[in-house]
Amino acid sequence: MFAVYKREFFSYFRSPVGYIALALFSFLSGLLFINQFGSGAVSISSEIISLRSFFVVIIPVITMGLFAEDKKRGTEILFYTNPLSLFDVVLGKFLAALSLLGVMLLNVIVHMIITAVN
Amino acid sequence: MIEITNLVKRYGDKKAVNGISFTVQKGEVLGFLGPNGAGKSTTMNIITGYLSSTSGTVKVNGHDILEEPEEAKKCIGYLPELPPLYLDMTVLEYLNFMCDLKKVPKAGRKEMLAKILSMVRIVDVADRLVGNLSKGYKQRVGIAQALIGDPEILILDEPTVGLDPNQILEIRKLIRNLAKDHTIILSSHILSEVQAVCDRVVIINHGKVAAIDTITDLSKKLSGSSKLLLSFKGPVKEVRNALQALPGITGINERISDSDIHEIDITISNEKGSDVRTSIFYAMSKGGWPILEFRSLDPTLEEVFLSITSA
Repeated sequence: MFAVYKREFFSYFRSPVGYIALALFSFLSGLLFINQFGSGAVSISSEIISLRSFFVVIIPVITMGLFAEDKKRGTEILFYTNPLSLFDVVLGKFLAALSLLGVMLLNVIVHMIITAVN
Repeated sequence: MIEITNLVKRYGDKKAVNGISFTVQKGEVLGFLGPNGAGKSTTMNIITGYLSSTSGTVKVNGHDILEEPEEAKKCIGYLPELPPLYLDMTVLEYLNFMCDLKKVPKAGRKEMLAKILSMVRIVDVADRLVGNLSKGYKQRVGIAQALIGDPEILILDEPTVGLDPNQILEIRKLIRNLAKDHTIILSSHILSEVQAVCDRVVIINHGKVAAIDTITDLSKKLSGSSKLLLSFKGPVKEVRNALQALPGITGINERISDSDIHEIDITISNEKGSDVRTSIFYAMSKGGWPILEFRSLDPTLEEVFLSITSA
């Protein structure tokens, strides 16, 4: 399972996908955060709520290739002809996508820290 | 050791594999031949667990591929028709990933990988992206992947496709070396390769086993008896008499006569232990008749294959 997880996670950074998702998210969330400065009170929850529509777009971009790419490349055969269960494969890929999301959400955590400190 | 019994794979109305049964003994190199579309890759995919059969059983070292898949797959290194390569990784990264997939212990991994890299001759591209390699190198990375974990059984689907003649010879040498302590199923269209490397041969046509035998036995069955062709300079009658007198010769036919160069067919009995060729040589030498050409007329594997599969 770890093999699949490691591979999928790093593959996000071997192609533009990971970088673009991170860059867009950082930009948008940063914008939503900074735009609230004028009003005196900053609400992280409203920032996250506003990011909803972005998630609707970016999550499929991150996740739709997880199995489709393997099928296209012909590498899905590796999952069937090696001693590992499909459960391991699915879990590994899921966690890889989740980790990328986690990296993106670090932005929000930074915003929360900034808010808390001030 | 692989046992396949009555394998059937149906796609709707069409039977891609229609009742294939054979056994591969431990340490054997089995050639898997057949025209395109005969069902070779389908059978190999079923043996390795990629496809499931419609009916029939596959047992790898006693483990049924459906009931004990992990134990069965642990014994097998598979090179499919299309090598499963991740183009965005370097060769070393990819092979390390395969080590993880096959649960190869971390200790000794470096040495094993170094050994495989040198066996398959990809040491100088170890740090290049797989996507940037030429077809021949990609194919060899595919072969390397099958060797990881030193599995007892190797199933190779057209391992030398896309390789240049030098590389083909190297891989053939590699397979011959591996044959010493591995069980190998080798599918190929290059009949000379199969002839050079395999102990037995299974010929598949239209999803069924058309023939399964050693190559020499197949040739003999097709021709009925062994034949040699001898081209020489000298008097035909005397040569005929001299040769007919030798033990093991059952018939001599004249083919072409052109001034003093003659070509004859010599039919010899298939008795084991009698190599008539040496006695023919000494007889010709004794009579002072130069041998211009001396070869076997036994059907080549290609002729056997064509006759079996064109029917």
